[in-house]
Amino acid sequence: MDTRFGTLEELIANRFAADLPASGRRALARIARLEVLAPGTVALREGRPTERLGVVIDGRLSVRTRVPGHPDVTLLTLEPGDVFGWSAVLDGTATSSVVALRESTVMVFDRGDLMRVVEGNAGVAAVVYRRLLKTVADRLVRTRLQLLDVYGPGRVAR
Amino acid sequence: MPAPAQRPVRTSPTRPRIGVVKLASCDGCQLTLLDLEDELLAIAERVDIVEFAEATSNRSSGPFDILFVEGSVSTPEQADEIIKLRAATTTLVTIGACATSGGIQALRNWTDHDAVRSMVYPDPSYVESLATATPVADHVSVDLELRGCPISPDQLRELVTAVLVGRRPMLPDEAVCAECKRRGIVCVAVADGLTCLGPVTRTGCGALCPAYGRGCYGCFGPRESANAPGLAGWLVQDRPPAEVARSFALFNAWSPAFRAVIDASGGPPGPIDRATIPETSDA
Amino acid sequence: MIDARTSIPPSRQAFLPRDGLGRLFTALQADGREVIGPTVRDGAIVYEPLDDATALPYGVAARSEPGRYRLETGDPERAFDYGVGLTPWKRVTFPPVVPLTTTVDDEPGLVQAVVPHRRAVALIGVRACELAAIATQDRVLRAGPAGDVDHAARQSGTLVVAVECAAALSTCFCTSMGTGPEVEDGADIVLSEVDGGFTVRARTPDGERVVDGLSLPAAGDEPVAQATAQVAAVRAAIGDPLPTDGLADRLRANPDHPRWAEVAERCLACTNCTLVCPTCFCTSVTVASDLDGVAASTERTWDSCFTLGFGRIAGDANFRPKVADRYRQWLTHKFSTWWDQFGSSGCVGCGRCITWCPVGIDVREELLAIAGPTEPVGPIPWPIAPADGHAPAPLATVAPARYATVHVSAVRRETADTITLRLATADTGLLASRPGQFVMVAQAAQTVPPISISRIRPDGLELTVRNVGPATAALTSLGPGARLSVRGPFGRPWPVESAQGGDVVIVGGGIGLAPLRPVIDAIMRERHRYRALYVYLGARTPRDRLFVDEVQAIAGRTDLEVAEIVDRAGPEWFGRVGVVTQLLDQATWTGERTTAFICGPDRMMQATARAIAARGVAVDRTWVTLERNMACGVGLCGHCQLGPYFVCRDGPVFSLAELGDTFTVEGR
Repeated sequence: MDTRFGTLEELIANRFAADLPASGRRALARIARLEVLAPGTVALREGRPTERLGVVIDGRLSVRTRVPGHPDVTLLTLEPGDVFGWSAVLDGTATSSVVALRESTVMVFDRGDLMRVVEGNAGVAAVVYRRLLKTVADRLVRTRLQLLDVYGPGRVAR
Repeated sequence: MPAPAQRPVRTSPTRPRIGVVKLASCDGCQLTLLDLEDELLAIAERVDIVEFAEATSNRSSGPFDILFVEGSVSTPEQADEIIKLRAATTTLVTIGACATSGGIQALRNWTDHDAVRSMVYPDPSYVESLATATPVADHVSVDLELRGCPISPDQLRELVTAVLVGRRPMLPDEAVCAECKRRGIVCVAVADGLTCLGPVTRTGCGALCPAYGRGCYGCFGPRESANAPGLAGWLVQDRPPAEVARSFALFNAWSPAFRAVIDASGGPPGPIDRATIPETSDA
Repeated sequence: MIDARTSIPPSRQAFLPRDGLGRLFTALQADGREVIGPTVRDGAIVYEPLDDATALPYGVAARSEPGRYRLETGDPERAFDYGVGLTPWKRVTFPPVVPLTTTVDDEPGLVQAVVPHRRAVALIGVRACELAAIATQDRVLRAGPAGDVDHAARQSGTLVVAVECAAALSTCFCTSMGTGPEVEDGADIVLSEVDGGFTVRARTPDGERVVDGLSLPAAGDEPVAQATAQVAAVRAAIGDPLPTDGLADRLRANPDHPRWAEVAERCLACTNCTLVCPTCFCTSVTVASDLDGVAASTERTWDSCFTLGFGRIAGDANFRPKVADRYRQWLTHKFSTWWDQFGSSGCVGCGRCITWCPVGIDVREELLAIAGPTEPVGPIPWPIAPADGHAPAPLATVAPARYATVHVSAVRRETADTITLRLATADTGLLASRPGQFVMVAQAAQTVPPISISRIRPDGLELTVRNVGPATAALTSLGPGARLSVRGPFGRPWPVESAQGGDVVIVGGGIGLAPLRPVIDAIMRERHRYRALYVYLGARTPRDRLFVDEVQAIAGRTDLEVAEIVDRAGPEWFGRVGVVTQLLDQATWTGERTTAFICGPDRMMQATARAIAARGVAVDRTWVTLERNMACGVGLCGHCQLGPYFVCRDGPVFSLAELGDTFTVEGR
């Protein structure tokens, strides 16, 4: 296993959910694995079922969406600590694609494994869902700022 | 409505093509152009007036760099025409109360159009008119507007100058009161108790009526943030509500701010009461 | 309270018989002065040029209530029984329209300031509250860094003959504001109208000269006693309708009081209150030109914080869109933040705003509802006293607005709508510009926008301009060789040196990088004086990034860290996409010894400030630069007033500690 970034348990504490109890960290570490993505690798494809939740450990990935008749638009970029594939816990479909911009390391949890752990452990579930809610909330705030930047009144003459 | 990008791009930066057209109106605002006696020749040297029925036999259907539109949209032909004119125009300027808010003829918007028409004309089938007289901006997008009944020569001069020079025209949207106070005119509302629409009316006339001891009639229509209900609420303290509503029911009655006051009192009070209109004219 | 009469020995009080008033007029006119005083016109007392004493309002009394004013029959022997007139005296010392600039003959494109001329006038019938107003406005218009030269010239030519009140209006509240009715200071001559004539006190050498020339007898005890009794009766009649103890603090502690919204339903925002107010000083600049835009002039006209356009900036953003915002701005400035800025109340209690409000709004009533003695104080939403460097002292002599001629030596296109002008000048004032300052850029026939300086060079300045309206469109279409008239530099600079010895974080959004570029320049020149340097830049799209070559050049250095992010990009962009706060979320530094400099759109700066605070940077080391409507650049036009500050003069650079919640609350 690639140990440049520490053990999976350490990564879960440092990059994903610091407030998990040790038992929870262990439970998640058992189902987590690290993947190294070459530039251009599609980690998640828009419109397909979201089969896994990812946490960026290293590198940079772009979140893209399709615009018919145009090249894809990059909505945001992900960097260490960022989470993608949150629709996995909603039994959902990916709302955007995630593509590695450079060689990137991600920690992934397969959907089935993850749901088994959270559904069997209310304490872990509370922490994981809070973490995912924060991801979505942060993204909403950023999106709002982006919309204001793009469409709202900017700083004008200077 | 055509998107801005599809509109004609100004063709000649040195000699803009200017048109003046009218819809339903009295021609008074167009004539203000001719009142710019001192500048008229200088303006004519810098622009091509390609359509102006009151002044020249030139006729054009466009394209126009600047098109001044007088009058409200009152007939089906006008509703079609204004859309064609808009498509042929870079900068469309509405001039006067009719074009900017519907004008005095918009009072008919509160009445039973067919009934009135059959009373006025022996054979109403000759008359093609819409049930409402509406401002140009209800039909097409408008780039600039000159308010007033009629428009102010000074504001017209400023607009033409600004367009030629390439700056934003200085057309203040503040209340008539600001002009009264700068001119040192004694407030006719406070000192004489007159009904004055100055606080809710856009400046531009130079506070003409208050300067002669009359309350403002609201010729220039509502100013920005016009709190017409606030003014009406004060006025009704010592006036019949119908009288207050009537004071708003003039040249700019159909403007949203004034209309709100008129509607709140149940429409413009008289004189159009069908029972009082004779069956036939005895002229 | 000092009584002016007791400070002058009775022997120094003279008596002017009623029929001697004409001699006073003649003496003032012989002094070369136009006499301006009260008279009746169109049913009101107005102050106008008077030919002689017969034009005074003999036998006229006045009755005023909120929104109602009527003249009544008074004592036919008395000329000054009307209270205060409609006209504020500022009409004389600060007229409604004043020429500011003209174009220069034979120098196309350049403008010059109009030199005001002094005019000798005598004001007769000035009340105690009005004296206070004249002094208050004089303090405002003389405050640095450049005062109002036109006002200074007019004020210096003015001789004031005060007449103490012998009658009160129901709208008067000078007693509450501490300005009257007794006349104390500010007049050259003080009259009290009593039976048979006037007691006369000369208060200045100019006044003495006039009074001595009249060869008046001394006033007896009886007229002096009557004058004292009259003014005491006025004081008693007015009472104390607006207790002011603690009012300023309670007012600013209640910015969210529901009454603001209630009064906004009645308020017509018609501007009458501000235009009859004898201390309101806000103005706008209007531009006029010939058809070719060659011969052009600008004028300064009375404006009001009640108009929608007053807080509007290019691009139609508006800082006070709602009438409630504007009413709060006016009342809070007048009764509270005026103290911070000028050391006094902005209200003198003359009551004009009550009388001449066309819907009868009574400020006394509103103030008692919003900030009455039972309303809570605190927490006060911004610092009580402006920090060091704000509220400059009044100028001894008022310097005229100075236009320097600059030459465009190079133009560089930055983005589709933004260019950088390199300006050459030998003007020592401009060359002494500091990072974060701005200049007012005048072009013939255009409005005069404030433009921040994007580089300070040994031989000139650079200005980076985005095309957002006609004036900036004209600037962005200039080519090398063009000439411009420039005023400045203005504003408080970024405190770059205060960051020495610590880390520096610079966050720029879009065109907001322009005023930050001189900060980066200054730090790079003395890199060793600063520890780590982090530069975080946001832009709408990759194509909207400014100074791309320069940013790439410094990004290659090892002694600083540069990170960029864009809001929107296509697949060709391998950089970051998102908002600039994301860059801060990724950062690893902590901020105990960090100074942050932030510039961008308001919402971006607010979000950035939160992210910066989360990293531990103190609010008094987090600096932003604000954008507001500015017509003058030196704290005279009033447009950029914000809490206790003028953004142009006390900013545009502020620390978050200085701004308090004015930084984040809408409508301030």
